[in-house]
Amino acid sequence: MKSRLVRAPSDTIAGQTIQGGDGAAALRAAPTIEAIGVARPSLLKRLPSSRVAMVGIGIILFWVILALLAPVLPIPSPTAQDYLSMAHPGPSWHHLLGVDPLGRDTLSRLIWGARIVLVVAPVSVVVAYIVGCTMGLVAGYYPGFVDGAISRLSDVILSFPVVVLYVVLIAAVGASALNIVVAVVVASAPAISRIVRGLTLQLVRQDFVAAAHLRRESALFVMVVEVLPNCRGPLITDFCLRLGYTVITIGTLGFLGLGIPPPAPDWGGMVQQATPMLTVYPEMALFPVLALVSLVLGFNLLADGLNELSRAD
Amino acid sequence: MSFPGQIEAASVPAAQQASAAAGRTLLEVRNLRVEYHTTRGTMVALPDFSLSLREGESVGLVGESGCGKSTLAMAIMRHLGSNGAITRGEIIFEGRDIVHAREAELERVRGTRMSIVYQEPATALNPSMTVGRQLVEVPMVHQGMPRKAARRRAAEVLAEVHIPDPEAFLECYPHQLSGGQKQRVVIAMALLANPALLLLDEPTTGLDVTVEAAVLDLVDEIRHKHGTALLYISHNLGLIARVSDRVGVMYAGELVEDSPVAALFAEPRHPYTRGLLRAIPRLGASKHDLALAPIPGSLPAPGSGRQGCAFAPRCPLMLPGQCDAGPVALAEVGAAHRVRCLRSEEAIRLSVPAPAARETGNRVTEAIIEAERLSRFYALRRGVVRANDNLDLTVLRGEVLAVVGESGSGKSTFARLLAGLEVASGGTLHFAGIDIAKRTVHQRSAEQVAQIQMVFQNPEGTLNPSFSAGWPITRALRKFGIGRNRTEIAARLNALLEMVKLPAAVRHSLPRQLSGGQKQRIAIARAFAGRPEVLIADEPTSALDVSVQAAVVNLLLQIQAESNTTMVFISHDLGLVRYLADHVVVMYLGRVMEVGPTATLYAPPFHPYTEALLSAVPSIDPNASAGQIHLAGELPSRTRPFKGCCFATRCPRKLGPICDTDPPPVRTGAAGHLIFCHIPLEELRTAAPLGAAHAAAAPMAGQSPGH
Repeated sequence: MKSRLVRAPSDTIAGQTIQGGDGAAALRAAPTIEAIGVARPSLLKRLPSSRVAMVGIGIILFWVILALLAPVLPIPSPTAQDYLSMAHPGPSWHHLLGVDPLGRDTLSRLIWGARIVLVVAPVSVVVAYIVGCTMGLVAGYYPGFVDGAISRLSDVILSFPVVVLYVVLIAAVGASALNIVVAVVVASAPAISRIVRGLTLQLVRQDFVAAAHLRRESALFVMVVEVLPNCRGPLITDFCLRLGYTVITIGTLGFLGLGIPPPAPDWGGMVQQATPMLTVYPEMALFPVLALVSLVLGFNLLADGLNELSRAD
Repeated sequence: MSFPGQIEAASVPAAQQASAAAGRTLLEVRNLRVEYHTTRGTMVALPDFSLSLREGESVGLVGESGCGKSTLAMAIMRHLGSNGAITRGEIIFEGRDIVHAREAELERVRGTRMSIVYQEPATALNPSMTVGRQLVEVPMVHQGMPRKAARRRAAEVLAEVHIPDPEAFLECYPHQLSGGQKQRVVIAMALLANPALLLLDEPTTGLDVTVEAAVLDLVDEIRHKHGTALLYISHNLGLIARVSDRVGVMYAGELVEDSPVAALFAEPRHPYTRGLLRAIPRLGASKHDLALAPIPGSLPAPGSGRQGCAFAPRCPLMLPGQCDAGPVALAEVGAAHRVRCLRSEEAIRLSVPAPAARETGNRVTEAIIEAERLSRFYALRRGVVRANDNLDLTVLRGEVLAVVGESGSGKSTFARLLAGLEVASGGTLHFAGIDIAKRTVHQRSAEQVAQIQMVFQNPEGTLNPSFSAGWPITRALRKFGIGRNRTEIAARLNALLEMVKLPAAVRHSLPRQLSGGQKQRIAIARAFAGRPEVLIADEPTSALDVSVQAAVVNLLLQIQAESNTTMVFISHDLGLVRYLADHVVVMYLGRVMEVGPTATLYAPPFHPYTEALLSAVPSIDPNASAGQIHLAGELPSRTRPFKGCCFATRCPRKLGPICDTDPPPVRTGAAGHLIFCHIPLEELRTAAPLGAAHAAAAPMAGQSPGH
């Protein structure tokens, strides 16, 4: 039986074996018939399949469109005072959502205020991401002293209660849109840096990074081209969540009187101005609060949806 | 030889078969259909599966990854997870209907009558609990045993799986154990129930051959002691040959061949089984004797609508109109030998060893790499790890040098030193006359970097998931200045893809669209982009199925021979090394134990370590397991300094105190064969020659050049 196995079928059935006659030639001829798989569409293309994410996007778009259309909408100026309506500040035909204690139209201030939030929040988060990713990549790529220095600095900043940190920062440099951005960057960048550092530590051990070294790629190239794009999964979700947090932060700062200086329409500031009247005219505070809540909810729902999609594998 | 217990005779398969002849049916799987519900629709993992197992019988299941082996084990345990479901068929275990059993009844069966050992021992143990607490729970919960008795029982079972000092061991946490010890604990846990059926799902994948051999012995011993029936799932035919009475070959969720183990390996009747056997390198044969034959194509995606035989698209004997016409039934072809093939008569004539591969090239004996006292130490708080300790070795231009050893032997460190991914702590490493030991890739010239390239072990990590497959190759071409403009680079890229036998369109595919084998081909193309003199292959096929491994190895050898590249091949697979290497270096704890031309190294005289490694390799010849040498314990702590021979602590042929105190002298054999051992060459030569595998393979080797 053994000898039958050993003897190759060079006679009758040889033509049907995949080997054919000459071994070397057969090896060369054997192609890879293996099919190439079909790619799953990217996360963004699959977004419509998540209802949660679509609701989030709907809410965000609602505010974006209102903010974009603010100059052409038939609403009064956000700073114009209507002294006559101050006697009855509740909702009316002239002022659909009522007026604030200074007689300014609430709806107009909400819409113009959205313009501020929807610029300041994304700008702050993007800048925080630029700083945080840089810190995280460098810390993860250079273990030892550099990593230690960056990580300890992050720890120090993260150990402050966030609100205290904001108050100290803004009180020191003064309230302005730019300073809000600075405050958000200082408070968020260390957290982003931690995420990126952790991902970088894992990714630089991967063989494709070793392969990049074997092409003599520079450290900058490895960090920015080989590592960073592979962090995007966790970062996209974090980005949306962080937008929501920043909207809350801007609201908080406004409420504490550290936000965009008056008379600019600021949602947090509107809540603060309405607080003394809370028992008499609760809707004065309610509408800006609802605006804040809805926008934060929109970002959080989008983050949830993205998270769900990226886990659905 | 004076250490009894370190050497023990392995069981003879004939005895296994005798024990399985009797016995009632223990497990009956009938027409089982298992489906998974995913976001992309329903996938049928097992379309219609039947299998029966008698009491005390050991059945092995083999097949490529994705063929449904693990699904079957999970279905038998009814552990399919939330998205898996048994939609048809029945599983009868000891007369109980498992498919429709209530959860409480299942719990009782799982805890007392059947147990499973999973592939990954690390994840089977809770890292926050001591081994003792986890073991004691089992009899307490399932048999209502009081804590003290349960603890005694746990210690007994640990002793049974050969854990020294079980009482102290009960207090250990999983992270304090080695991989082999963890797997023993998991097996002990499965044994606590004293089960009638033990399911083993790739229990030794990821363990070193020496550890694997010990685990297999343990499984064998348990089986004979308690009469436990085994369902052993593996992709490794050699393992299956060692542990099973009966073998089932699975393909695309179906049993394609079912046979007693001797008959299966002597005369496989299904073209797929023959293909699998042909794809495996054997200890006795080299690339000059036999070719490894890959199975063309790949496993069909589960649930892809097809008619007839699932293997038909890849089958060399496929008859259009018959094989793809309708379902093929399992047919009896011999004593208890069933095969699902219309052409099983013709299949006998498909050769199992493929014909000879290629001529030996004219050998130039010019050294291209010379390492002298090359060392790489890592300073840890606990001490110094000597990953590479005074390595002396030479690589000849155009040859394939294999570096073998268990994990932790420092073979990958050597590869990284050579590639410049790390720098040496001492010694010299000359490449083409220049010392590169202390130069990282960034300190080497672009030319030097291009000349030493590497293919990595893990296909999943070798390509950047964010970029297309063509991107790293293009990038390498640009960095190494090959091709000055876009058209030249594109032309070279296409030539490289053609060289690794991939269609040109693959350059636009993302890594997640490619299979493991395809990714390794891209990695090979990337490594050859700079026209390297030396290619380092760090276990490039250890994560691939045997059929794919054969294709990748053939490809590497073919390119290597055509371009006259020198290849340093790192591997733990001694069969594969025997097949492809010209010279072999055996490493242990960062030191060279033995160096020599492949044919010389695989025959006595052996270094005792090489001898142990070789005897631990499970052979696909079921008659080959006579006279095994077993290494006691595992690798000692790597921070421990050695005065004498570093292998002395585990050496089955240790002479005496001299081995602990004096560094071993070098014994010079024929044709540059060096053995670092205190035992004189004459005595080393008296080693028992390799098992029957070696002898059985010899006639094959002798005959094949005739074709």
